[in-house]
Amino acid sequence: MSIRGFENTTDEEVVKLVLKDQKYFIILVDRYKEKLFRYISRISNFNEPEREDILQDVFVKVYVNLNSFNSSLKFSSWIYRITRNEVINNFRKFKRRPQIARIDPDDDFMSRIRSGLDLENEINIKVDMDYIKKVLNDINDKYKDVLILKFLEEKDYREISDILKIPMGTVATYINRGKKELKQKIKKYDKFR
Amino acid sequence: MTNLDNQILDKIKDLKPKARWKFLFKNYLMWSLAIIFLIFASFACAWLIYLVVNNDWEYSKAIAGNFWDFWIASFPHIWFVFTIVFLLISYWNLTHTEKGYRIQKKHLIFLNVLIILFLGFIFCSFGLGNTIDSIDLEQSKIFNQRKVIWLNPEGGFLAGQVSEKNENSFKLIDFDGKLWTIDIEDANITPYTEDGVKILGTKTSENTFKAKEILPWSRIFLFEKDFFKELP
Repeated sequence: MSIRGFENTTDEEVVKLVLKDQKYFIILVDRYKEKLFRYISRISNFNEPEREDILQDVFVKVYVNLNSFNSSLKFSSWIYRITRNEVINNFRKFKRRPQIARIDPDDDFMSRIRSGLDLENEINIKVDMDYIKKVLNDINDKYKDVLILKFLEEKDYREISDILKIPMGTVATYINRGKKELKQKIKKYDKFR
Repeated sequence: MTNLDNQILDKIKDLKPKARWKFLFKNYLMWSLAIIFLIFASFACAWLIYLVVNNDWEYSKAIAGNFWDFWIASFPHIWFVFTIVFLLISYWNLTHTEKGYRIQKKHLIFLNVLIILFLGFIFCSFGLGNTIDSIDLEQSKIFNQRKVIWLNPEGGFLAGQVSEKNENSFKLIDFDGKLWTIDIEDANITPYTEDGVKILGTKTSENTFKAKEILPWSRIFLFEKDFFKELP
C-alpha cells in the first residue's frame, strides 16, 4: 500500500483508519520505526537484530492494543510508552541492564544539553560526546530516562509524564536533579581536563 | 527497515485489535473499586470518629489507672487500621486508573484523607457511628472495646439501656442482657437519650448498683435527630 497522500493526516486520524482497515497500519510503522529504533538504542544495549525484534514486538502490541489508545493522549507518547515497556520486558527476559546510551554523531544532543545545562564553556565535542555518554550511563536510571526523553527525544514535560506514567511535577524534579548531577560531573571533568 | 515493514505486516496479518470494552472495563473497574474502598474507609472512619469522640478520656485514670493503659485498652485501633487499609486500597486503585499517574502521590493521599474525614464526619453525624453499639458483646471485644470497659460492675462501671424509670431508681439492661436495679437517689444525672446511659457507682448486690454519676452513653452529633429534640 502506498503511504503517499497521508502526510497531513494526524496519528490519531490514522489510528481511526487502522481500526477500520489493517492496511493503514503501515503509515504508523513508517512514521515511527526509525524514531523508535533510535529510542530503543538509546535506552538499551541490545544488538541490532535484538533491537529489530523488540521493534517488531512493539508494533504488534501497538496493533493489538490499538483500542486502548485514548485520544486525549498524544499517539507518540503512547507508542513511546509501549516501546519503553517492551524494552524493560526484554531486560527482564535476558536479565540485562542498559549500559550504553547511544548518541548518534548527527544528533544535536550536544547543543541541546549545553543550552539545557547552561554550560557556558566551549568544550570539545568529540571528547565530551564520549564523556557525556559515560556520565549519562553513570547517573541514576530514573534521571537518565527523563534526560534521554528531554534532550534526545525532545519530548515536553506532558509527553514525558505520559510516557513514564509519572506526574509532571516529578518529571520536573527528575530533570532538575538529573541536570544537576550531569552538570556536576561535566564540570568535574572540565576541571581536570 | 523495508524488510521490517513486511515482517511487521506479516505478523499482524492474522491478528485483530482487542475489543475496546476490555480496556474500558479495566478502567471502570479501577474507578469503581477506588470509590467503593473510599466509602468503606469513610465507614470505618465514621466508627473511629464516633468511638474517639465518645471515649471516656475524662475517666481514664479511674478506668485504667493511667492515660496510656487507657489509650491502649480503649482506642479503636481496629477501625484506625481498617481506615488506613481501605484508604491504601482505594489509593492503589486510583493510581491504576488510566490517568491516575498524572496526580502526585502525596496530593492523591491528601485528597483521599480529606474525603474520608469529610464523609466519615457526615456519616457519623447522620447516625452511622452509633450503629457500632448494636453489635453483640462477643464482637464488641474486637470492634467496640468501650462496651466491654463499661461492663465492669465490680470496678464501678456499668452501662446499658434504661428500661423502666421510678423516682429513686430505674431498671437497666446491661450489654450482657442482665437486668439491674439502679439506685439513683444520690446520683448526679446528666440528661441522656434513648442511646443509653453509663453509670459510675458501686455494686451493692448481685443485681443492684448504687449510682454516683449517670451520664449519656454517647454524645449527640450534628444532624442526628435527637440533636434537635429537648433532652429528658
